[in-house]
Amino acid sequence: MKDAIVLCISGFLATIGFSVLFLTKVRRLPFAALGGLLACIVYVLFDYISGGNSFVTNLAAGVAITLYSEVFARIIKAPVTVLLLPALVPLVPGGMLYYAMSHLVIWNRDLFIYYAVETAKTGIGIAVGLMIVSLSAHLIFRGTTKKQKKLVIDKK
Amino acid sequence: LNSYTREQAELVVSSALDIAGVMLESGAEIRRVEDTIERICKAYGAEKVDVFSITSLIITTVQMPDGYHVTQSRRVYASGNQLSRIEDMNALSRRICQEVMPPEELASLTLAPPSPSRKTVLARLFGAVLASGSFAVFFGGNLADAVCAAMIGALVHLIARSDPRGFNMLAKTFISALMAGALAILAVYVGLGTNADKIMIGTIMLLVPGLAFGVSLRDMLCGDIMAGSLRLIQTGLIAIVIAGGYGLALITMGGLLG
Repeated sequence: MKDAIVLCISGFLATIGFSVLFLTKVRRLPFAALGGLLACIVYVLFDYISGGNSFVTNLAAGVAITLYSEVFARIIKAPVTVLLLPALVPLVPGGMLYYAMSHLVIWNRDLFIYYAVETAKTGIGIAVGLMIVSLSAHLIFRGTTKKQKKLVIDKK
Repeated sequence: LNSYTREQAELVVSSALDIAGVMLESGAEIRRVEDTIERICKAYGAEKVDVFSITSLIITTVQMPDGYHVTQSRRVYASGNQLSRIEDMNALSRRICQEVMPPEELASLTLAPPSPSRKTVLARLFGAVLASGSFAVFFGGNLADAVCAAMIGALVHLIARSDPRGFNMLAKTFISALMAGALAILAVYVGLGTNADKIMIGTIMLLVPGLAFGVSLRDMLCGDIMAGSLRLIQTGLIAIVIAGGYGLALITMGGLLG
């Protein structure tokens, strides 16, 4: 439990750090940071529920943050990317990539393969989660965006 | 609306490409870039707008009502993540579509953005320090590791920000990774940090192209398979180069860790 809290807080701070690094507008910063916190919470939760299955965990976190960004981007009228990219930050499998590399260097074949597969599973998990929600959002919101586009052109 | 001269039409297309170029430079998705050009040109009465864009090039042909065509292309070199600039350009293009100011005025609006102020430079450095320090803790390091990762992270960031065009991007990443790995091992050897691996992971996160990976997925989902796969290959290459840099540091200096 204590570990989970440390994880969430450090993930939250890391998201803020990255948002500043990517020059997110100050008024978008709270929403971007909240997305990172959401990613960490869902990650911890599903890591526990699924018993450490990295594919399911990242899939769930990917779904959660994409849903969050698609909805909140429309509420605060910002591009989806501005919320999605910072929220993605805590999910990036930097740790796994490192361990895969270090076991390659000291040539521990089993652990190298384990971490390489985990890295790939994480990447694919996030990708699938992102796809499910983005594609649904495209279908759901297609009507509304087209209407807006037409309005602009009609004015001319 | 139909009274634009050819020169004016050229100006409109050139301005639209300027805006789209800045977006692409700042890490926007291809769909957003192409949409922006199309909207601006349509707002100025273009009959048909054909845009094709990949991460390093935009090509546009516009057919004006009088029947003549304007074709321009824009090569984009640097690419990074600057979310505020994507948003600014988005707002600017919306304003242009609504106001439809004269083309000459438009051209002066879309001049190159001012070079970053001292405040943004410091803010970005702070962001890099906070991010790499937090990630050292995130992946299981202690506070001493976080401090080491933060200091090395600042150095990595300064290297990454130095002159984006003069130096091969992959070579720069490799040197950053090699240096960050060596410094992390040294920090533990000297006794500043306790876990070299956590320090290295903290700094790796600054280099890993996780966000480019996300954008490449978004590109491919929108049907821009070309641009998306180019970006994907780029992220794969960078990941390999990062692993190579840290790996070399571990091979040559790993003995110090005992």
